[in-house]
Amino acid sequence: MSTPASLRLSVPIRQTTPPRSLTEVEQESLLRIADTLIPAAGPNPKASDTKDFLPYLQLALAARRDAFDVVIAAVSRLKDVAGADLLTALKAMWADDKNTFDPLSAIVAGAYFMTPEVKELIGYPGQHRDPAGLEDAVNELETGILDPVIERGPIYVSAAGE
Amino acid sequence: MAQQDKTPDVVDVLVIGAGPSGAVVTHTAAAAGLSVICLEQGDWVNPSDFPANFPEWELLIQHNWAHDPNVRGLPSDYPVDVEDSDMWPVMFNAVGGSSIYYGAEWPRLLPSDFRVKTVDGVADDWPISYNDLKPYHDEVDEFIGVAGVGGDTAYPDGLDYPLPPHPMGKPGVKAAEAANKLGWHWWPGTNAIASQKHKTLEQCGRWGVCEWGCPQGAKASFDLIYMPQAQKAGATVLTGARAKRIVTGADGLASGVEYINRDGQVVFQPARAVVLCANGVGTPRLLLLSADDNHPDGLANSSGLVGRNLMLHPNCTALGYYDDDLESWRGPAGQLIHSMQFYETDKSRGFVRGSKLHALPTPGPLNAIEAHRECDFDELWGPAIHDVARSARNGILWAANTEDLPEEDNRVTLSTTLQDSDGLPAPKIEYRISDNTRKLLKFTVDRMVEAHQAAGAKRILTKELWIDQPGHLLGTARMGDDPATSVVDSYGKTHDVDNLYIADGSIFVTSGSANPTCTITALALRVGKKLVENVKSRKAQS
Repeated sequence: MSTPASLRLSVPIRQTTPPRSLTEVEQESLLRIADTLIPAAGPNPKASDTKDFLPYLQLALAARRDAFDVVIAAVSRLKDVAGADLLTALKAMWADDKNTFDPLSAIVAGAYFMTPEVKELIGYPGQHRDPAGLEDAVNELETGILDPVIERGPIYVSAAGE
Repeated sequence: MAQQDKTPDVVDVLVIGAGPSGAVVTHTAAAAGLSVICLEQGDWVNPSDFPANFPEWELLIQHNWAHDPNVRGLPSDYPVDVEDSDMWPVMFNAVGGSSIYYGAEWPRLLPSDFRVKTVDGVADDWPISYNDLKPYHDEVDEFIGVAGVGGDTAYPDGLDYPLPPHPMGKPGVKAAEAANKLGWHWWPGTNAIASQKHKTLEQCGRWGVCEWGCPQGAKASFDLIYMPQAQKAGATVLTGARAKRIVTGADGLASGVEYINRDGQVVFQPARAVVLCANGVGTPRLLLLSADDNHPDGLANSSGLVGRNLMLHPNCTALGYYDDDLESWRGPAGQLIHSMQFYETDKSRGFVRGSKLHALPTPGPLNAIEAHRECDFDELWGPAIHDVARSARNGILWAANTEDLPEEDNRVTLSTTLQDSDGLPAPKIEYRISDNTRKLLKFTVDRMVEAHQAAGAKRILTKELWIDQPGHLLGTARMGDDPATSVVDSYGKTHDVDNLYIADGSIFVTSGSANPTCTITALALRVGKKLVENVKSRKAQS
């Protein structure tokens, strides 16, 4: 295989920073895109108003560094597109260029929904250890929920040999 | 490539592949006192490595930890040529194999699955029956600590499990209530996930991310159960060892295996018996790679069936969102409940055989967004995104495996355009979905929509075919009594080479629609026990 013994063969290396820092122009453009895709609505803040959005955006860009070049190229193309035209441009990208729109939108949405502020707002506690109570499964079955199935009896098709 | 300086000592049993079947065979042979080496092209993965340990886990599973090796592209992976295929077979290459990423749903095949020709007049019967396999199932279930409720009415009497079931949770109860309303069979999910601490497995922490690697170490992935016990019994697991070809001698027997180690060196490991456990794509690939002057069409291929009859269990889903708070970030996932209501043939439906349905939770807001990708822009982006993300905790996923009947034109060959990182030809998949399967997929989606409607879903998203799921790789070296129409006998011994065995999903005759790892491991135990007898007998005679 010609791979150094220290290289993990079946585990990707976790990166927490993007391949390079964004320029100010790139970052400003990316934030405007994020705010267009994720605007404020009711109690929900727009993307760039979310506490700690920027560090999570860095983490998101790192997690999808496979798409970094294509995403940043699109961000650069859209830097001078203003206001309502940006929404139109993003809709056109959504319709015509999934290979760019999908990772771009996943990165900004992924960053937004990682922030503790938004997780709390949408009621998402994150994946975490939460073992079942000792009686939980028994309590469910003691309601009699399975009784109709048991009362109908076996449904399998007999075949010689079972 | 450099060659080795010295040939290693001959080993009794050489297993290729450290997934579920490889772990079971390795343990069975080692525990019986035989010397065993298991070759694995990947290496070990720790529970602390998995994506759900990190806040960006939903992004990591899109690429770096994707289930498709063609997307993930890790050093342990080989490319899969899918240019001429309706589906993209997926697998994980590591100790534990694809069980690293499976959902650990643990249903056995039904009696009719072994008699499809007799019952429905299609495909072929297996050379073994439900009852032949039952004691091996019972032994594996006990070993790995399967959790479930005994007495499932979809099965004959005598089915029980060693560990108590997991709670169905709010999504499971809601799905079960709908099934009751419709008069369907359903049963609390049977899962190879420890509901209590069991041997080398931790108690389930309901992380909800079983199919992306269990951070708790509670899921029975076979790097955590069976393989540790095999090592304790004396087996050696060689990681970073990619099998190149099986070598045969003048006597027609397998003399060992050439593999490529981490240094790029070709090593010949001699063995008294060789067991292929490289999955339904990797195993036929290696048999075809082992062609030589005496076996121009590949090893063990006098029937011409190596690589043919590939079955992939096409999957379909109906994802429902509800007004109720279902706390659907909670696991296991794993099946909360399953239904065998539509498993058997009902000719009035216009197709033969059926599907197995299972209900799962829907963890993660970004996953909910990805599930809405096919909606109109304004239904997902802009102000709508907030409600879509909120819906993740109120979701139920009904999913189904459909029975995939064997067809010789669906097959694995060697690619002429793609190679792995060692220069070995990649497997090429030629696979088309049959009309029978398309009807079955549509019928099944309609039933799952009914289930959501009965439960009061507010929004239902359907997908009639997942082209990159579910990683059930079956049938490419089928078992049978007749060497003209099968590759191995009912104990996994190849008809052509007396000390070469196959113990993975390749040896399935038909696919059923039950998740196959349960059956793969029972078959592997049966193959392993017979292999031990045969190797001991051969050693006694020599």
